[in-house]
Amino acid sequence: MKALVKGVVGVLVLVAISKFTAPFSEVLPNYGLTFNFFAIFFILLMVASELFSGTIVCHVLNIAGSLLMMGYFLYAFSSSVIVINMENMAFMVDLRIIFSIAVMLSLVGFAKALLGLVGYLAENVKMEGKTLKA
Amino acid sequence: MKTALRMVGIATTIIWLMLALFIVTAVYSATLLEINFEEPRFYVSEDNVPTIAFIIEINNRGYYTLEDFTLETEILYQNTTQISSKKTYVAAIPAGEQTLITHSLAFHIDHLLLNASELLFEDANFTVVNRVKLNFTSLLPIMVSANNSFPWGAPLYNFTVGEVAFEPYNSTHSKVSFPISFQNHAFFNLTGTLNVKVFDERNNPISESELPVNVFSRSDYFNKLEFYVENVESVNVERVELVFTSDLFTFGPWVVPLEK
Repeated sequence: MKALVKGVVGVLVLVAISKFTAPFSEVLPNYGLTFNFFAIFFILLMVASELFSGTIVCHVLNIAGSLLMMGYFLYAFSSSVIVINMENMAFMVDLRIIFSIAVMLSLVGFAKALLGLVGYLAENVKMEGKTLKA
Repeated sequence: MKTALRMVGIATTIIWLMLALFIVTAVYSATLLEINFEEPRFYVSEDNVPTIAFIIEINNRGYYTLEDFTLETEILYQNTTQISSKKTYVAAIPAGEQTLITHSLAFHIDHLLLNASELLFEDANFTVVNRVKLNFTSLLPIMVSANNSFPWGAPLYNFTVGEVAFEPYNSTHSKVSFPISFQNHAFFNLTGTLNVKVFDERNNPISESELPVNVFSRSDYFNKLEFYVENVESVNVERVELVFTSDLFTFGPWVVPLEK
């Protein structure tokens, strides 16, 4: 149930972002395509992670998701200065600071997922130790 | 460990939401930004430099302070020769406030004539390159550049020295005359003197005169240069040498052959 809710919310957010960025899709066709591909893959990982909640697979999928996010932002960082050329006008938006913050946050997410896995393993070892003692 | 990780998760989620909110509101604020250009004003500054002043009204109706607002204008002739340039900087335009900026471009005619003297006699279209740079709360730098054209009106457009006319004045002298005309297409008035030297076919000076010039912007000038020669001489008027002197610039000498 939780996985379904997360999946639906993720798709709704994706649809909202697509609608919000629709006016720019003509001038920046590649951005939309890459972003949609990344977002769908990320939602799938998120839903799968929820389905395997409480297992080691959940933590591995969390790590994969945060790595994917970090990879996407690092990829997007290389073209984070967006230039839109119109008739006799050029419009430039420098998203480097925003992407830097996003990379930092996804790095924190990666560290959190990694620590989650370590915590899970440590807890399991502890449980095994207790079982052996008993 | 679990609690700490949950706290980190909540903190990063909050920061993600704040970042998303900032992007959405910054884009929305950009659509609410109004930049209005009022009619340009033409004037000659105190140090005698023709100047165009643009009054720009910036109405920041968005949610964020605009920082480091910089407006750069460059006027180019034939896309290569720089005629004039100006940079106007405003440190901050707070949200919900309106700011008036005066952006003045000076046309140093002497400097302009060094690079493109034909602009004194020919109208042209200058390329105007405008660059606007601004920051939304130091996080989102934006730059907009636009190319426009700006018509240049020549101050001595269609400068013509007309046909030479001889007519008897008295028993000893004849009157020699020829018309001088031009149109002042420039955005400034032209006040100065036109020094005219007349030469014969052997390059000997025949006459030298000074004509006053006082032409309003977008008006015509017409004057007749007259001088007297003795009847005994066989005068063959060949060419004139002109020097224009005004407060704004000095140009010359330039040579115009005479029609006979």
